[in-house]
Formats: sequence, C-alpha cells, structure tokens
Amino acid sequence: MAWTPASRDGSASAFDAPESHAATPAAAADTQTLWRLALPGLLGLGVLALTLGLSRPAQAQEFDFKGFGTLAVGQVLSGSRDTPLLGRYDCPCTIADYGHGGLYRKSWSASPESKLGLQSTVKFGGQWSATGQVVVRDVDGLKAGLEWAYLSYTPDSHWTLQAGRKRLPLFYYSDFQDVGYAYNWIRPPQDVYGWEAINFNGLTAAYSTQLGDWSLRGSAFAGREATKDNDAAKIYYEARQDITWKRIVGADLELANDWLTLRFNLIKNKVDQWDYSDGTRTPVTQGQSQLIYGVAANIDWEDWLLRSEYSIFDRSDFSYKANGVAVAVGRRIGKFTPMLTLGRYRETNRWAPDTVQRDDTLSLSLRYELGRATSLKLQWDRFKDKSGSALDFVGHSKLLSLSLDTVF
Amino acid sequence: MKATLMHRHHPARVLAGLLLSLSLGSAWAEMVIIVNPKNPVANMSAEQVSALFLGKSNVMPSGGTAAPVDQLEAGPLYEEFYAKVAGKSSSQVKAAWSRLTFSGKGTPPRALASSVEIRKFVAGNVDAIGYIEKSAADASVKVVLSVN
Repeated sequence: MAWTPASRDGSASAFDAPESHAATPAAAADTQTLWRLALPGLLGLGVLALTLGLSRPAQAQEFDFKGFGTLAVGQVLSGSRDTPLLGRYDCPCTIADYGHGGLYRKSWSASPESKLGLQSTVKFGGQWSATGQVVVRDVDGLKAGLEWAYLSYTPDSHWTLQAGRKRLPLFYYSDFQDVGYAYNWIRPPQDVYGWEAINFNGLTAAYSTQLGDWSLRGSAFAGREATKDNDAAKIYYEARQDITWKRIVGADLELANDWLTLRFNLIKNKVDQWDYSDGTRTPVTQGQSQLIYGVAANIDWEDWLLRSEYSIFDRSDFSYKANGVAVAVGRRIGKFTPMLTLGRYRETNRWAPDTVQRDDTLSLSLRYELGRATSLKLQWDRFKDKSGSALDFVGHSKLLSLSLDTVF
Repeated sequence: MKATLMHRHHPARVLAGLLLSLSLGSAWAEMVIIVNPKNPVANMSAEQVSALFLGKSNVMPSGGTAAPVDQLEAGPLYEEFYAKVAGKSSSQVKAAWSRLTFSGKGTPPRALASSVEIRKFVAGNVDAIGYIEKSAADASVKVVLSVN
C-alpha cells in the first residue's frame, strides 16, 4: 500500500517533463518491451532445459506441465476523482491489483487482471524436482514474468527444502494469488493484499505433519527481492522507483482440520528505495526496518464459508504502521457461491498524519461453477477513500467486474 | 455431511449394513478404502483418509509415507468418495488441489482407470492407499475403512 512520507518526498511533481526521466526513445522501448517479455520466459525455459539436460535418461523422470488462466474484465461504474492519477491512470478509477499496479477505469478493460500462467515440474532422483512458473500479464503492457524457478528436495515425508525464486508468502492467498480458480472472489481483498514485493529469491524449509484430525504445516524462509521500476509504486509515485526488500526472514504456520484453517505469519526485512524524479537514481530510504505479521482464519462449515485475514505492517523507523483486515461470509448454493466481503485499510503516521491512506471496501461476489475446472465470477466493489487531505489518491469508486478462471 | 462410517470390519455389522443398504435401495455403491496388507495401519478415520487425498498430509497414521491413488474423475466412485469421505464436491477438490499445485506444496494423486488396476497397484505398493467398490476388494488388499 502507501509509503511513508519520508520516502515519498515532494520531488515527485505532477509536472515532471518526460525528458527528466531516464527516458528511452520509441524504438528502444519496443526492444525493451520484447526483452522484458522474452527474458523471464527464456529464463524459465532455461531452468527447465537445464534440469532436463542434467538428469540422466536412465533415472526415473517425470515431467508435467500445467497452468491457469484468468480472463477478467472490469469497468468503473462511478467515482469521485475525475483527473488522471499521477498522469498515469485515467480516473474515476479503482485499484484492483496493488502489487502489479492494476487499476480499472470507466471504459471496459481486460488488462488489469487477465493473465495466463504456465508451470512445469521435472522430477529426478526420486527426491528432487525443479519447478518453473511463468505468468503473462497485460497490466502494464504485455509482459511475461518469472514467478518461480526453484529446486525442491524432499528428504522424507515431512520436510521440503527449496532454493530459488518463489512467491513471498505474505498472506494466506499470496502463494496462489494468480490462480483465480482457487478462490471465490475475483481477487483476494486488496485491503490486505498487495505490497511492493511479490516474489523473492532465497531458501525455504517447510515441515508438515498430521496430529489427529489436524494437519500442520510450518515454514521458514529467507531471501531478498530487488525490483526495478516497481509496479506497486506506480500507484503512489509519478517517477520510477526501484525498491529492494533485503534480509527477508520469515515464518508461517498453518493448521487445518476439516472445517477450520488458521494461518499465522511473521516476516522481518529491510527496505531500500531509490527515486528517479530528477532523472538519476537517488536513494530515499536505506535499510528501513519492517515487520509484517498477521493471522488468517477460514471456515468451511456445511455450506457456509467464512474468510478472514488481518495483517499489520510496521515500519517503526518512520513511525508508520498500516493494518488491513478483510472478512467475508458466503454460502454454497448448488453451483453458486455468493459472498459478502468487508475490507478496511488504515495507516497511521506520527510524522505526517495527513498523508495516510485509509479506505473501506464492500464487495458482493458470485461464483458459478461451469465444470471442467472453470468458473465464472461476477463482482461489485464499493471503495470508500477516507485518506488524509495531503494524499492525492484514487477517491471513492464503484467497480463491476467479471472473470472466467480455469486451471489445466 | 459425512455418511455414517463403520470403523471395524466386523462380519455381523457388514451383513447388517449390507441388508440395510439393500433395503434402502441405495443408488451409490458400497465402497472400501484399501491399503497394502504389509501396511501396519489397521483402520483409519474419514478425516485421516481425506487428508491424504486432499493434500493436507502425505503421512500414514503409522508414520510412513502415503501414496494415494485416485479413481478417474469421470468414474462412478470419484464423486461419492469425495462427498462422503471428504465432504467436498469435485470442483472444491479441484480448487483445493489448484491451491497446492500452483503454490508448490503438492500434486494431486495419480488416477488409475479402474478399480481392478487400483487394487493391483495397492497390492503391489506398501505405501499405497486407494478406494474401490466393496465388491472389487479381495485378499490381496486390506480394508481400513468402509463407506456406505
């Protein structure tokens, strides 16, 4: 979500001329786009080819290929802001994907949330596997992103060790946030979800076991994520921001029985941020400490569903704290699953209380099973912007969106 | 939500259960959850079985690794098994597995084309666990749970 004002200094002027950025001429931009599109895909395929090449033909080898896709369209029905946000987003507008900077506007668009994910796993040596996942999006021009590229080792039925690139397990749905088929909304509640870092490169150790009727899974992870031209920052800054989450250390614990799932998580890391307002890479934050912790509780009882999550982001170096909460109640009625969701996001900042982001969201969603691992969803969202007077933000809005989700 | 399950393979109870289901004219087949005879587990609860088939666990109550094998989704037993033992529809099962598959936490059990193939697989693998019609079970496998 929003940044501390100390890292958002006034130099991000609305009148920044294009020349002041490290601008690339049109031709180079095309090459750049092609490169951005091809590189992650090639990287993923490279990992795959490497593992295929490394494994001997004689050994038992399994290769599988699967994927997921979402075709989502949305339109802002009405909104209070009528000037573009940061010269970048047409408004009235609604934020649908903080992490990737995806906003809907008044005309129908499929760009903010449509995506195609391809994943493949190669197993070798009995206890090893290599997995790659590439997701193609059109939120900021058509781009392929390498979400996963990791090696996995399972020494026994309890432990799993992984090294490489994965999604950062910040929240309950973070790991599979791109797989729309796996949950009932069109998107997990954005009051909780969506921060600057989505993936990380590092190590994970996970342990799972069964205690009576409860299954337990705990993991600990460490790593870092360096992003250039950060997508989430596009909602808050006009100039390019490079953001690194370093020295990430975290753990999560999930307990589940047949009707209740609880998840606790704790992550600590340091943030470096660079701003390009004057055309040069200028550090604005170095080594800012951050602590993220939260809890999720999901209930599936008879045909009733409850989904709830509460998360706190604490950047105490800057007297900044943010908390997000979302609670959803739904019911399965044949092939339909209607849900009502309430979300709330609040920031506090002792140094700059007028710049805090505060909002309330109400969502009504309906999921319909089409069969063949495909679902159709309709969702209406009402966003109430109660942000501080010094934050130039999106304003109130109402969004209507429709999605088709599948896994294969 | 969960069907009444018999936890012990008692002959008199089996007969009573069979008579009852015959008299009620049950449309669904009587089903058994089977493991390899060398597996130390004597019986399992519905929760323990569904945990293995939904990816919540891959460990047998005895502590050994489990290798679940599924029926084909289009087959007659798939829906019955997941509804009665796990209390889930097939789309819920798919959504549950897509969460795990696409977050690198597990892969769904392989499916075999018939109960006979499943029985053979379970008979030949110490870690295997599967579900077949009661009529398809024989001495080559051990029943740990009956569902009717």
